Amino acid sequence: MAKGYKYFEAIEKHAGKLAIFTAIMVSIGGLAEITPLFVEAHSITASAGVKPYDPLRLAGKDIYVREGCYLCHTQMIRSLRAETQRYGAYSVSSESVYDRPHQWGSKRTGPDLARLGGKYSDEWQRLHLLDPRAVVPQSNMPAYPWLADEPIDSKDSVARVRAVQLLGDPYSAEKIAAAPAALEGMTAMDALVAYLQGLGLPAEVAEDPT
Amino acid sequence: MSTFWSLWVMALVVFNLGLTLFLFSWARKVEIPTLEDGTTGHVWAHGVLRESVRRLPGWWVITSAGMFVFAFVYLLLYPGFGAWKGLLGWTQHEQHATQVALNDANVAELNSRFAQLSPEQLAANPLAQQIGERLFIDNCAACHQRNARGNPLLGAPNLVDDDWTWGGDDASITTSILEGRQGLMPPLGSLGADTVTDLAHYVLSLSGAPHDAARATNGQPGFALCSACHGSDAKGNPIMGAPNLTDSTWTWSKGDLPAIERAITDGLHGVMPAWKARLNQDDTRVIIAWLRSQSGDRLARR
Ligand code: HEC
Ligand code: HEC
Ligand code: HEC
Repeated sequence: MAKGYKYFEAIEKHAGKLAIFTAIMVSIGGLAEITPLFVEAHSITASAGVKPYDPLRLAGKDIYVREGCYLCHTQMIRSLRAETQRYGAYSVSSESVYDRPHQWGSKRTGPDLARLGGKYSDEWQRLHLLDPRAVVPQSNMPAYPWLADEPIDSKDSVARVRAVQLLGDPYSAEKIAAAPAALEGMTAMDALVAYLQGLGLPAEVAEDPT
Repeated sequence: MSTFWSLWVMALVVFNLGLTLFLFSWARKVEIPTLEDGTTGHVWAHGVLRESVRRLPGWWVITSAGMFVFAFVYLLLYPGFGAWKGLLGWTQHEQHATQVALNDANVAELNSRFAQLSPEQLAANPLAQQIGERLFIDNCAACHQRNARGNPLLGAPNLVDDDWTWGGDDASITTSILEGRQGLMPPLGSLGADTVTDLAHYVLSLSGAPHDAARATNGQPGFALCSACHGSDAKGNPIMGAPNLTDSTWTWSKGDLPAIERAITDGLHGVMPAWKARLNQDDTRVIIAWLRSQSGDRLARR
């Protein structure tokens, strides 16, 4: 019989020490899995055709996040045959460099939206957000009727563009100068539909991602 | 993965596995001091519960040891140990590519069998119907409804009534699906509300729907404007997607007076997206086959 009981006793009889050593052991997995990806994420650049959101779509993306669409929808097609057959090419990280926060996830009540752009008409998207049951009778998606009456605040939207510019997204001075005119008279609905209609379009021209 | 991060992961894996393996083998042998009665002296509930010392059950020891073996074998075969690619050379992308190739081969085999069938046979083929229905539900049902009966809110037509705006032969339907269709009827509210109502009564008269005969007569001359698109016989024009107004099928409404007035006043613009980026000819063939099987009118075609 080996010696050393006192070491076990020292840890097991002191809740504080036990907690600290447990935390250290548990964090090893995280240090190995998360840290490298976290640090290397900053070196990922946009794949061909992926452009920063224009001001209207950026406003739409923020509404998407605000309304919690991500609670039921992912924007991450996994590299599984059944998924790529249904939704299109699998998602790669270089496609979401301009998404802050990214809209990946694993919780799907509704379908994945990563390649939604162009699948339906603008009118369909509007009707569906106003009343999902008007187009999909079986749907349990909530209605978002208030979006149609909510004007886009162009000052606020330009500030958002400046904020992501500050984080390094390339926007030209002309683009920003033109933003207020482009947002004139737009509603939250217009912005969200513009955002949805642009989802995943660039990947159709992007080369094989490996 | 850069060399630094590769080493980082390797170091953590070695540390973690090494430490747990060491603890696993050492802790089993450590002698736990006991009192005379064979307990450790730990008591709970004022001495009602006392802790005795037992050997770990064999199944537990073997399972735990098995997990170490699994970890070593896994890290040897699969990627996980830093930049080590694993003896099997497995990658997620390759696995996906293999599965896609396998599925593509199955689908190609099916489609080559379907290609031998006439449209009538294909429409009667249960497997083609099943695939067609799946594709329809996934891509088309959101607008045309699950039963393909259409949705007037979007101007999405009924696809199983054998009444086609853009042409009902297989080639035209395939073009409708792959290239998309957009009908455009301009707003004609500038004609004035009265004229619009007259025209609407005239339109109703064309299909023998209930209407005000006097107003319809008033409306008739104005229909010259409409004939440019809907044809002088009002039977429609598949080239621009102007529907037949003399039958009783309506796309944008149930054919009631206010709806027709609205159509004339505000114009109409149906948008059928192009599907060529998502579907191919093989897909449209089975979709059309399914639609045919649903329309119950498999012979009258072309
Ligand atoms: C409670 C869960 C839920 C929430 C929250 C939700 N959805 Fe949905 N969504 C669904 C379900 C279920 C469907 C499938 C049925 C349908 O088409 O309505 C769906 C379908 C969709 C589709 C059609 C996708 C396709 O390919 O057919 C779009 C687009 C969509 N949702 C957008 C949104 C947006 C934008 C929001 C936020 C404003 C949102 N959803 C919030 C559940 C949800
Ligand atoms: C965004 C809604 C939408 C979706 C999704 C959609 N359609 Fe359509 N479709 C329409 C509309 C609207 C029209 C009428 C276009 C017009 O005449 O202006 C139409 C017209 C058609 C026509 C021509 C009908 C005729 O009478 O000539 C066919 C065929 C058709 N769709 C098939 C399909 C198929 C098959 C799919 C799925 C792959 C599909 N549609 C998906 C909205 C849609
Ligand atoms: C420039 C061509 C054009 C002219 C002119 C035109 N139409 Fe149309 N009309 C269309 C098209 C195209 C559609 C189908 C729209 C769609 O589905 O996208 C249509 C649809 C309609 C419908 C709806 C049919 C249905 O099934 O619901 C009515 C009613 C109609 N037209 C009446 C008229 C009348 C009355 C006039 C004259 C005052 C007229 N149209 C002039 C092109 C035209």
